[in-house]
Amino acid sequence: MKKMITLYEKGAHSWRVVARDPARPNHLIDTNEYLISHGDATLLTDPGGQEVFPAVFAAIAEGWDPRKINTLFSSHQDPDVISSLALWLDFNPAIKCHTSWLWCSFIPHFGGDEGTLVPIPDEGCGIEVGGFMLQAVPAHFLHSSGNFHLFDADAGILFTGDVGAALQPPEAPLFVENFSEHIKLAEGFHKRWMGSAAAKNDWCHRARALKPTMLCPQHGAIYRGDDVMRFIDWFEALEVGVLRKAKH
Amino acid sequence: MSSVNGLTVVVALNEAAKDMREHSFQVRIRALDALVRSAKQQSSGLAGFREVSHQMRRWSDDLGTQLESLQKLCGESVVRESQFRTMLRKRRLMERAAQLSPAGALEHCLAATSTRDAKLRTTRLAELHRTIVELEALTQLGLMAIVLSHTAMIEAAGAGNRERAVLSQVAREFGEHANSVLRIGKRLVPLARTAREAA
Repeated sequence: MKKMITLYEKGAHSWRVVARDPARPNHLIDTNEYLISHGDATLLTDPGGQEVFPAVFAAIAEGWDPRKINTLFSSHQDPDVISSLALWLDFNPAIKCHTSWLWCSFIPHFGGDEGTLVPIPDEGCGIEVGGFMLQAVPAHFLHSSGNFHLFDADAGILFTGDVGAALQPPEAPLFVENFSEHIKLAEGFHKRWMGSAAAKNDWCHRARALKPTMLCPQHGAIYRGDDVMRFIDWFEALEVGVLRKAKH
Repeated sequence: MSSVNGLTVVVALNEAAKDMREHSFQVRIRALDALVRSAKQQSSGLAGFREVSHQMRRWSDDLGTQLESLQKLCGESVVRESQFRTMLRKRRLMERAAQLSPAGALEHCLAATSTRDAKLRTTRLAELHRTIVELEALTQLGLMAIVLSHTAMIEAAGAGNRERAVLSQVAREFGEHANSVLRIGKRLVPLARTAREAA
């Protein structure tokens, strides 16, 4: 089963990650879900696909009160990100889901009605959780055409969706331990999934300016300390939008 | 068939409805042709055949109405069956979540799901029952048409030498279409019953 681990806690403000499911079938990509709490309100980032809902819900319920989750944040529209929406709404029909305006009429194919989705404009906006303001940071075309990351200025944590993702086995450590080894697992993914060099460079400038202390992707290990800037530098230098050449 | 479900029945019904529409159309054409031929003759000996031709045409109309109703039901069943399949998947995931989570975490959710599921199951069962009733009505229509085709044969035999062969052919073809409709109806009733039992 997945485990929930605390990443940051200061008074009533906290970040937790639900990660690493050894029981996950191989045909499903592993995902990280982050719970950002302030007071009695909780936001869940990229709540995951339908098939991982049992593992995600159970891990949260084990160490947190899932009834506190009143907000979802969907970085983009992919099924591994938000296809569990209908199940979360079964649990709490009042949940609101913030996502790019671009996907507000697409995501309801997974569930919800006209009141469920809260559109985020292209330039980003604040998202309130229990009186605390998180910032939706534009990350369009990385990889989705309507894509956002989420920044917490107090905790210094940047949730980066698919940026920084690495395809790792479930027994891999939660935090990046050896950057040069780890980044090999991320390279192919970033070259193929991230299609725009302009968007990538734009994001690198924006992310660098935020000075995050932790960079939390939806797949794979979390970057912290010096590895955060190491990643941004590496990403800036990376040639993206590359189709792997067939071997002859 | 081990995997008979509502969608299997709907697909079979829709395909059968297409076949039956074709039979209905052919019968209508034959009936009109026979009416024109017998009207041309103005012979009192063909009055019976004219009446049978009218009835063939009416039968074709009745079959059309019955098929319309059946296809409307098919449309509703597709919606219901899709809801049912989605419900089964959600239920499986919700039950798994409840099993893994601390006791009571999803109790209200499972209770609400059960109530919704029960309603959906009842509606789905009622629809399958209606399908069976509609198919039985179609089978009855097929039987009636077979009787009518026998009458047409008898009436054709009473026609003059010139018309007898043509009218007998019309009656024979009507009989074949009637038999096809009956066969289709008889084939589908057990399929729908199996789906209802499985539900």
